[in-house]
Amino acid sequence: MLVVEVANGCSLVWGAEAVQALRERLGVGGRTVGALPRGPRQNSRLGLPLLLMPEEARLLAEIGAVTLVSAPRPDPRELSLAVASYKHHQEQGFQEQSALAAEARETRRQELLGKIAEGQAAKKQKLQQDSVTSESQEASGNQAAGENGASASQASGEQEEAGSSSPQPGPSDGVALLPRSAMLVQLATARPRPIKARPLDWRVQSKDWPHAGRPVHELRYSIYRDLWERGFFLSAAGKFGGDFLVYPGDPLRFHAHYIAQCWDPGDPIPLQDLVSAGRLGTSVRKTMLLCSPQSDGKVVYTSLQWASLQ
Amino acid sequence: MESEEDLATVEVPPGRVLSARELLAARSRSQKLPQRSHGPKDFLPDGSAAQAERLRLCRVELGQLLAEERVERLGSLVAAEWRPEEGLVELKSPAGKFWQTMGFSEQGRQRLHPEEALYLLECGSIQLFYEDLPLSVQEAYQLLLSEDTVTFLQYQVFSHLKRLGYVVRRFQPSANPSPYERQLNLDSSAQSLEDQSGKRKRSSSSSWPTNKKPKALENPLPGADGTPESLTTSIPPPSDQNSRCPEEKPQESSPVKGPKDPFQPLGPLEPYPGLAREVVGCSQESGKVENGLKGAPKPRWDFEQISFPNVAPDSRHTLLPAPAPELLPAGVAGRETDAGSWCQKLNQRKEKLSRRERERQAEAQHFREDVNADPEVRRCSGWREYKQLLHRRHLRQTRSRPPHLWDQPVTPLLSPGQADSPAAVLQRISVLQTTHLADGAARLLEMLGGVEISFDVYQADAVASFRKNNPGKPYARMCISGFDEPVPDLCTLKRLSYQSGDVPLIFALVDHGDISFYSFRDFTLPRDLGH
Repeated sequence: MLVVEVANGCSLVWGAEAVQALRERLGVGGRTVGALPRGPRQNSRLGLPLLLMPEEARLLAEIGAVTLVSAPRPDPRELSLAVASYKHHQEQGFQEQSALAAEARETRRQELLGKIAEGQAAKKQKLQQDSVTSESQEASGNQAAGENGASASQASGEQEEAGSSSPQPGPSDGVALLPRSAMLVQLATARPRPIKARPLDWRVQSKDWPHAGRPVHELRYSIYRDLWERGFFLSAAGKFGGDFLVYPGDPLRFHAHYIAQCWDPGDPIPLQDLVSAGRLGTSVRKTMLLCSPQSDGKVVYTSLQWASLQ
Repeated sequence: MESEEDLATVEVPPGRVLSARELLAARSRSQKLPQRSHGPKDFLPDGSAAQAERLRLCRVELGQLLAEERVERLGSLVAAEWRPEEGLVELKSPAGKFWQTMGFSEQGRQRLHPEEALYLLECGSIQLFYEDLPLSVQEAYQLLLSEDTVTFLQYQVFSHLKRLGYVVRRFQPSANPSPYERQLNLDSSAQSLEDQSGKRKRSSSSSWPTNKKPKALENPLPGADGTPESLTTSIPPPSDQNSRCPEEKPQESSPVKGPKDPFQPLGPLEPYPGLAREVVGCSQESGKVENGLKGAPKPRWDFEQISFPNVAPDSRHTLLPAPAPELLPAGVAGRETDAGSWCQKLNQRKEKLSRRERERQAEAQHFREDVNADPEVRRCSGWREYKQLLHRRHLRQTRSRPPHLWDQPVTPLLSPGQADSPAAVLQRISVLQTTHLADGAARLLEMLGGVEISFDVYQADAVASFRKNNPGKPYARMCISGFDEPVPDLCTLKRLSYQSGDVPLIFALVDHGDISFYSFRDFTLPRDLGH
């Protein structure tokens, strides 16, 4: 079962697998609101966390697909342990990285061994030619050494570039140490340590779950659940003056067909609202749905259409 | 009790931790965002394999993008520490390029607001520590975003704007000039002073035009015909002030040229004793002037004889000589002073008005006649004369009014002389006047609660020249509100517009992660003046 943390009424999902499971198995899309690691400075594609509407979170909890928990506080008793373990892992990681980098360098050297030998042979030949033509022995000797070094550092690959201050210039050193600044660290997205959290009851109003018992939430939820059970994908429709945008399939591949507006069956609908809703629906080529739950749990859907009488 | 709690808890599984090999592999992964090249969206799911395949591709791509972890070189990360007691993040190593537009220094320490730190963490620019442990993005969201610091909603708008490239700073109410300051154009003068320290040459040359302007001032009032004769007689020694009372110079009704040489210190306090005597003398003859209704009373003060200290910004007449000792109270020593240093502090720039303000001013001028434009009024030398003039006019008017209109209990709204165009009539008889959003909102400032301005937003193309200590005028100010919160009432709107001044106020509305921007604008209904 997936665990979703809730804080101040916001339900956030922090795992990519969980997002995938929600979307593909449960038909709940949510909305990504964080920066995408690959492109953190653009808005067209966002990354984790995934924000769930309260209706989505409650539905998932009701059907038993997820457990809602209040955002946990780390246990201070385990802090020193966690710090020690973090430091240990970091050191270990750095050593592993150095070893891996050395390994990568060695493989690359092996790959290029043929080329290096070729180059050296060519140089030797040239050197001999040079000596034959009685050039200055000393200068060409230096030149050869320099080029030798250059080809070696070329062979050592990118790692060498990354740590430009690396004290080892030659390939002959056994274990090449990477400078610490070139070590890679992960900026974890989700909390890297397991933690105990208290489950949250969505039936009871609390600081983390203020939605319980609110008439608007209850109304929206009954509509959300009914549409979801019919196999629709839903997302927020504030921009369209409605409650939900209703998609026939995954919003990744389909446009929304309907704008759902939730109305309590007993509430009068002001005519102006009705007209503006209908106008807006036609102007964005979507059908306006007026949704009202009945006392027997069924939901009545009414669409608004302009009669084509002149 | 505790065991019960333990029973009730759920274990939250940890996030993915990359191994050394995965970290190295992350270096060589693509940095490009995949293009959405799976064709246009379909209308309806038809169960076809092609559709299913396209959907699968999209989902795989999305899954891969979301599953990527941030991997950075340790050397390129700025270390920072979260200080919950201060609600701030403190940098532990020198800041990076982001310091140009983010953060602030306090007590010699480099600090970041929580929203800035969180954004930088999401961008992979900083490594955030708390209690010696690096925070994951999830923990940072949980710790840094709260009611006391920045709310989740505010952060969503902040990061959205930052990702669009805007410079976003917290709203500084104190940095906003008060209407009084705005009237005096103080903000730009502060800027020019700051500029002076940097580019002394330019600003000093602009604020001290040397020879051109004083020449233009030689004829201070338009329409004054400075004859050569008046030129020679116009600067008499102060001693013969009495002999030059206006009655002795009936011809002289228009002011004549000012001092010939503007660079000569004028000795401004010298004529004051003469002036005092003149006032006394003139009040004696006031009766005479009152009688001469048609005799065009001349200004009693001969301004050409009174030299005022010229402290205008375009003149160098700043040397004020010592005042006459008889004018000073006992025990006070007067001394010569140079007001040059004060002139530098005075704002010498022309007030810059936005188009709206100019239009408003022009409109106001159109309907408001300047009382000084009336030549009869200008001839009055004091309040008493002016009041008498008004009284005379009133009498004249009431005399000319037809009794069948004006002697009734109900009289016309306007007398014929009061308005000469349909626009003026409309203006005079209108009961309700159009007001603007920010009008009269100063008294609303004390009202607290409701929506507040959260951020100042500066345009993205100004990033290169942006300076934190002198950010200039924001491009817009941002109020943040959730979709389920009520629309701000007029009172709040007026207060916020007033606080925002002439910077546009934008409302960011967050609906479950979707952000829409709205603004309320003044709208003045056009008035038909042609008929």
